[in-house]
Amino acid sequence: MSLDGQIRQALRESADTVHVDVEESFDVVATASRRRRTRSRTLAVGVAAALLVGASVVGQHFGGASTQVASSAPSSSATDTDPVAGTFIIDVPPSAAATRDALAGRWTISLTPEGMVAVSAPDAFTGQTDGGTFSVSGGRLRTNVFVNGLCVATQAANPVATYTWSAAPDGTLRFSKVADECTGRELLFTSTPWIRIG
Amino acid sequence: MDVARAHRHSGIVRRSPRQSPDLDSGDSFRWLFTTEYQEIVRTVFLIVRDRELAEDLTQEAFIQLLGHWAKVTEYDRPGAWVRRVAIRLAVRECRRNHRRTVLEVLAPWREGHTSTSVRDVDLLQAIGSLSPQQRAVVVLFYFEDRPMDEIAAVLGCSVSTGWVHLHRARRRLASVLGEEADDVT
Repeated sequence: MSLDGQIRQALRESADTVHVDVEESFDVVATASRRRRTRSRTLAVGVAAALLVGASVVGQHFGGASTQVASSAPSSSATDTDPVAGTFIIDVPPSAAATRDALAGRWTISLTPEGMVAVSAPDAFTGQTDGGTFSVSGGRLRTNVFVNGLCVATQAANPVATYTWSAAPDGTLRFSKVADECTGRELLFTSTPWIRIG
Repeated sequence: MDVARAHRHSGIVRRSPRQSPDLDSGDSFRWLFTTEYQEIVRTVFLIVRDRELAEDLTQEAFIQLLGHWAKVTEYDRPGAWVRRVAIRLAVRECRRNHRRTVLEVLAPWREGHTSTSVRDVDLLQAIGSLSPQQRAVVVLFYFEDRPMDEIAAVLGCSVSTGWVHLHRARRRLASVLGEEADDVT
């Protein structure tokens, strides 16, 4: 038998030894998925509550001064998000870093006037595309987007990133890092301009 | 502009719990799971050489599928999406564990193949000692009978790189078996 035939036969025989309980596995997946969704919602509520408490404490401490600087995540309430609000496409080029984390490809990111970030990832990206919030102040944008997905592995001490931004006449945004411990997020913000489509 | 309006404007398909499949009923997700799960586990097993790990990774791929269900269900072959995710998870896991000794790595193969010939065991051991990328190419080429352009797409490499992996793998396997590494058939 040829080498190829031997390889095929050995792999087939090896694979045939694997038998699974599909129904039991389906239950495992269903349960894990429900748990993950519940945990995600709980986490969101917890973060929101923590933000409110943190903002309250900091506000009291500084006698009513702006809470944005000291809060652990960006708050949109005290910022003017209009200059950057819109929908953008980001074509991440296939660099070594981008390929490693399957980040290369077209991303669509919406920054809403309410300070919310919504993300649509390229098909190759298999991680969570959780959104987040952002705020804009003094030419700087602060955001916690991807903190529960792309940036989980980073385990950053500070989950909030800060970037300076500039806008071209056609609305294209360019970002420069001020502080971001998450390399994947940095790649998305700085590897290529954000082209406005809406 | 509110969030929903922003999403509509950008064409983003926003996921919500209502758009996720109803896991308790006989829906399309269950059908997909039932038809694809075992074959994906087998492919992943051939790459990671560990049955429990193969099941874990395949289940993780299906959990991720649920998270992207609103988008993936519109594809012609949602099964291909989850298979690709599972294979990539497997390769990533192998890279992470590549520093383990060959003996540790090959132990599960030995245990699972008491009935196969010594020659097959040698061959499986040799496949197990390939780099994760080479092993994945071998499994996808010989076990799944995929064309190289599909293999390259799954693994996120170029077609020429895929051929290089395959030829190097064959050369190594041929040397283990004491055969000539002739052309791929």
